[in-house]
Amino acid sequence: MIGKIIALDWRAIKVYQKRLPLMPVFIFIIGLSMPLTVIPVSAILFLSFSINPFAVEEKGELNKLYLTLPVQRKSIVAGRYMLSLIMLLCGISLGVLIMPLVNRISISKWYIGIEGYIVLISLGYLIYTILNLSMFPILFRLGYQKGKFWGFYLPTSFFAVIFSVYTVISFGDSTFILDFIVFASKNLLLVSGCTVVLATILLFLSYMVSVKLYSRRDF
Amino acid sequence: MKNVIEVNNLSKRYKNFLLDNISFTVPEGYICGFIGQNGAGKTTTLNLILGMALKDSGQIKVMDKSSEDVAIKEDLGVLLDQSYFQEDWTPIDIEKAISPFYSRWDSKTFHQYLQRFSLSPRQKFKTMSRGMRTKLGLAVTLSHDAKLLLLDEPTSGLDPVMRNEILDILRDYMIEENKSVFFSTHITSDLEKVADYIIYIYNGRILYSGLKDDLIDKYCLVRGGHDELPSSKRESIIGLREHIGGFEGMIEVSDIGGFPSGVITETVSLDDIMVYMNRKGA
Repeated sequence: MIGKIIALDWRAIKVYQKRLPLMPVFIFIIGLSMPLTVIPVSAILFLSFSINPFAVEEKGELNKLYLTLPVQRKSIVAGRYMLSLIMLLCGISLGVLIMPLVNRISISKWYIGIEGYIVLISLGYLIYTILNLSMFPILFRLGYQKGKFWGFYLPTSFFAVIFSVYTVISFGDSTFILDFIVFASKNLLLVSGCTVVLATILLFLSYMVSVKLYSRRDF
Repeated sequence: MKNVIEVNNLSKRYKNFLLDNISFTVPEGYICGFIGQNGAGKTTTLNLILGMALKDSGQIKVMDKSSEDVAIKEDLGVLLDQSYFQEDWTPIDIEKAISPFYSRWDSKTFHQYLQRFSLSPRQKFKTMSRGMRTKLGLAVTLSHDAKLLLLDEPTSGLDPVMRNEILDILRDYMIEENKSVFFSTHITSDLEKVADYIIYIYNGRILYSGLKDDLIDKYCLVRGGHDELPSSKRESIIGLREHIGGFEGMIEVSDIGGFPSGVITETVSLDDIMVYMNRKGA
């Protein structure tokens, strides 16, 4: 059933699929200033793409279509989460492929080993689940516009401001991120393991809240 | 008689509307018209049957199963007032998207309907007229061997030719045994042609549920001059209107006795019943 729902969602976002080939270009450009951000940014961009079924449901009444079909509401939620996870996998894979390329061109070079990649992947996964938790329950309860504003734009703006303030305060000389990656690489099992466990708990929590909220939604 | 829909004490409260403890049944093998003016609660009731809206209280059974059991939707063909196909979809896309959900989807039937309705399989939904969209919706609805069609205002916004065509499709559908149609509309003239059973909802309450002919036989129109309206009859006339020429209204046939011989009585239509009930304020 979940496979059928993913397929229907995928068909429903037909109009947005044209944007997919542009994603590597965006990720490449964003990564030029800081190659370390490529994997997390890629994860976020693909997460953002995965919420397009919510966008089309407002225009094309996708929810109503689903509710005419022999489908349980919780299966619809599960389908959307699976699509989002597939997109995350695509995002992280693309990030892993693009990061070495960006690193060659970028002024700021980062020499991280395989452990560093694992740290970045687990961080990308954690950021994805934080945004997922802040966004999906609202998307399922209130729809695309409110979900994207309160669940995506607001938290990402908040973190962007904090990061900018931190960069200004540290006069751009901070080695915090690199220090963290080095530390995490040395303590891979502890840091990345905990990150992945925490992220998975957040994702599960997000799913449970979404199932509950969507089951109570009136159309 | 077996019922395909049984609604008992169903209530749903919105900010400005209350579906007030309604009960009705839809017998199998009938075209059942669900009538009422705009905002009476027709779409809300349909949404509750389909599980799109969540009931506050009451029970809904569809084909002997709780409406919450999604398996019943295999046997339901649904056509809503608002289209729910993506604008960029063609009939082929729609079939690819929807057919996997129905175990009895028949691609051949779907394409036969497309041909019968003169719909191109490659035409985008956004370029289709209202009539074409309704026909496409019906093609989808009729292609998975549904036993019960739930149609919300399928003929609204269509010209008379197109409306007749839709009614013909419903007649054809009913040729097979054990098929039923629940057809919500405010265009009662369509129901005069095809419906056998009527459920009349007014302001969130069911005023009538039964055979169409019984409803029509229950009332008649009455009109006459000023001096032909006995004061004892004023109360029994539904939607009484007095004008320069005299009076007019609707009355139950059982109350017709006691009028002077000059008073004219006429058969009512479903439209008349709705108009006079509305005038009375039910």
